[in-house]
Amino acid sequence: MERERQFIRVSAVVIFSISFIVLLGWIFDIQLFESAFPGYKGMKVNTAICFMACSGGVFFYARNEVKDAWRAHFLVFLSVLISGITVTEYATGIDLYIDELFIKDNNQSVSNPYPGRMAFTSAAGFLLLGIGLWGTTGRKLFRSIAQMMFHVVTLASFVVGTGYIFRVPTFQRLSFFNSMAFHSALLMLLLSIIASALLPQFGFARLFMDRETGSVMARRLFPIMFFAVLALGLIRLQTHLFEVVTVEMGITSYGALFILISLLLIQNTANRLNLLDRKRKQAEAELKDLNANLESKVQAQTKELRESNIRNRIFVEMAPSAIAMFDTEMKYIAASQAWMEDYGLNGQQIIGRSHYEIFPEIGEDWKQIHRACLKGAVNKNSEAHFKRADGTDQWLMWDVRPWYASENEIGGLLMYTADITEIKNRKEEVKSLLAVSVEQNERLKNFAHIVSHNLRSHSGNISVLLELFLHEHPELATNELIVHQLQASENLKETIAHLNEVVAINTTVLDSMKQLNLHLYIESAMQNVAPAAAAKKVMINNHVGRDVSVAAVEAYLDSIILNLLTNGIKYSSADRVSYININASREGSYILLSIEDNGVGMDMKVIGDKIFGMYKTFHGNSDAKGIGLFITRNQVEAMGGKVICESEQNVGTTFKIYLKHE
Amino acid sequence: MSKFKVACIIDDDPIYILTTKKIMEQVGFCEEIIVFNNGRQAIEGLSELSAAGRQMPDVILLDINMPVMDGWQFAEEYKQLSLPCNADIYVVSSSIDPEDIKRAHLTPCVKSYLTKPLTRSILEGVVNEQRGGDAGMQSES
Repeated sequence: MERERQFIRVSAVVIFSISFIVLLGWIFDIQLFESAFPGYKGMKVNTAICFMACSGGVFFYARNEVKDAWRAHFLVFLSVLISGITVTEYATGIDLYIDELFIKDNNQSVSNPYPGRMAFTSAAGFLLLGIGLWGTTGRKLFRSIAQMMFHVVTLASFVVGTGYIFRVPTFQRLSFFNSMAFHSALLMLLLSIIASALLPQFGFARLFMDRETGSVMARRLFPIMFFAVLALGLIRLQTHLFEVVTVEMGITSYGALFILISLLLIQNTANRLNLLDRKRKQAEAELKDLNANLESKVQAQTKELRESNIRNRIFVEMAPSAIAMFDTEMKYIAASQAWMEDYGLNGQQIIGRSHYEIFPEIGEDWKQIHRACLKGAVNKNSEAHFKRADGTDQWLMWDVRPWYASENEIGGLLMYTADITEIKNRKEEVKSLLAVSVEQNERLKNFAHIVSHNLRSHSGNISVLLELFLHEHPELATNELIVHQLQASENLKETIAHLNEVVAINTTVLDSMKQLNLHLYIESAMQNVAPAAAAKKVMINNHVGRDVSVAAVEAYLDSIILNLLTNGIKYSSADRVSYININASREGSYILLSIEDNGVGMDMKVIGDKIFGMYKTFHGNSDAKGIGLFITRNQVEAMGGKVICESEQNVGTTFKIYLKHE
Repeated sequence: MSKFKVACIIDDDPIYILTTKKIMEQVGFCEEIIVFNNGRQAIEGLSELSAAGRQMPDVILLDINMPVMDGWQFAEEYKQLSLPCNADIYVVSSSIDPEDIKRAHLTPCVKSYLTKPLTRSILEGVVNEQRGGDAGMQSES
């Protein structure tokens, strides 16, 4: 578009310049400038002024700006005024004094009956051009009419110009009163063409300025044809004038040559069209290929998607837990067998049906969760309570999350649920059982406290009473009854002390646990029992490594080792060389301390776990009180360990004590 | 040689009261012994003594488990009475519960915790402590 505008503006400037030169010729009386070819008719002053006005008008119209339009309108008005008056003069025969208004025309001749008056053809042309130019800014109808006017002017000036080229004198007059100058005709031709170019959508201008194939061809074909006809005509005329060929020969050869040139042109055009067509076909084929390719790609992807969906479905259906797969509208795509069973759906056709249709009791809360998940959220709950339609309580663990059809596209939901009602009920049972046992334990402890406290006060009273009694009656110290009374009182005190010890265990054990060296504690206990061991000829061997340590309460560890060593010595066999072997080894997070003797042993089938019971004695030993092992087990267990007894009658006993390593 | 002028026993066990009185006499613990059978009686009795302008106890042997008002409650109220008496309180109980011992040491006015039975040697210890002023008294039978 810009190229056309450029062409219009340049042409307008050219027309303006030439007519300006002509005007200068008139002002300074230079003949050469007035008529381009000496002896030919010259351009009149008014013609030059009209050309300048019209070319200026076209120039401004081509700028396409509002303020320029008014300048253009004015310039065109000037031209219309001058040409209009001139046309009126021709029509009425009255001299309106416009002809020599500006400069006097001194050329008086037969061919110039009205000095200074522009040719009628020019005047008519300017009138048409001027009115047409005004029309270019008007409505569609006006523009269409304007274009026709331009075409008329183009044709007329062409005819005049051709007449000059062919040197046809009659053409110069064209049956009108007088005729245009040659350069006027050329300028008029150019002016009318650029005026036409202002309206590219109308008339022939469209043919030459359009982008369509036909127009392209017309643009190519027309100028060649135009010049060919002109050139042939010129040759034909020249040969005729100089009588080189006869009229018949001339016309024949003119026709033949014209046909030949037309043929060449047609061939050229046909080739071009064919080329264009081939290119178009090729492009079409390529496009088709591309489309086909795309289609097959889409098909392949669709197939892949379908297969992956089938795989997912099989996976879901075979899953051993309750899983269901939904599309974005909450319609079932797949559900596992467990799902069907858990929700009592066996025998129902659910695939393709909506979850909400199958379970109308699903509330808005759930629907909200589903919607959120369809937007990408993951929701889960490890313990959700439900009231089923039949009124039973159900506990569910569930997980709802989206599944992706492609990287960014959510294809629907995956829902996983597990019925944990059974587990939940069990848990509750265990919890209440635990609560009961904790309470019982607490009550037992309180009971033990009260009993031991009350027993202590009574036994304390008894021992103090005895003490005071003996203080007041020292002579009775040897009285057998009093002696036994004292012994009984002492025994009672000791028993109560043991009882208190048992009660005291379990209370604040964990706080006082320390990392203790087992080897050293055994050594210290061995020293304590050394006199008793020596008396009974029992050899004690400490095989525990010097670096073995356990987490324990000092007093407990002391008491445990001492008690077991004392036991080992007490129940050594008189029939053989007695020994006690002490070993330690690592057992997971425990240290296993084993104390093995070859003493009298016990029949574990008969005794069993009662060996650790309170006040159980299994030997006829007079000093067996049956409290030691009970305390030992309590102490070991209070420290998070355990104790096992293995024994065989007359072979020996092994105590295995598991203590926390750290 | 009486170490204390007035000693006060607050306990509900008559045998304990009897034996303790006897031992006190034997070791010459004090010149006068006042006995109350529970915390409430003691509070009222001590208030009356104070009102009559009589000699207030120098030392109080206080049991924990008593009917009507126990030892802890007594200690609390005794503090709030602000009697013109500067007695050292010894908590005397059969309990060997570490919690009780801890609590006794945290109670104001309580000098120490003694476990029953209260023997001659323990009371002598109290006297010595009073005299020496510092010997720690913690007894276990």
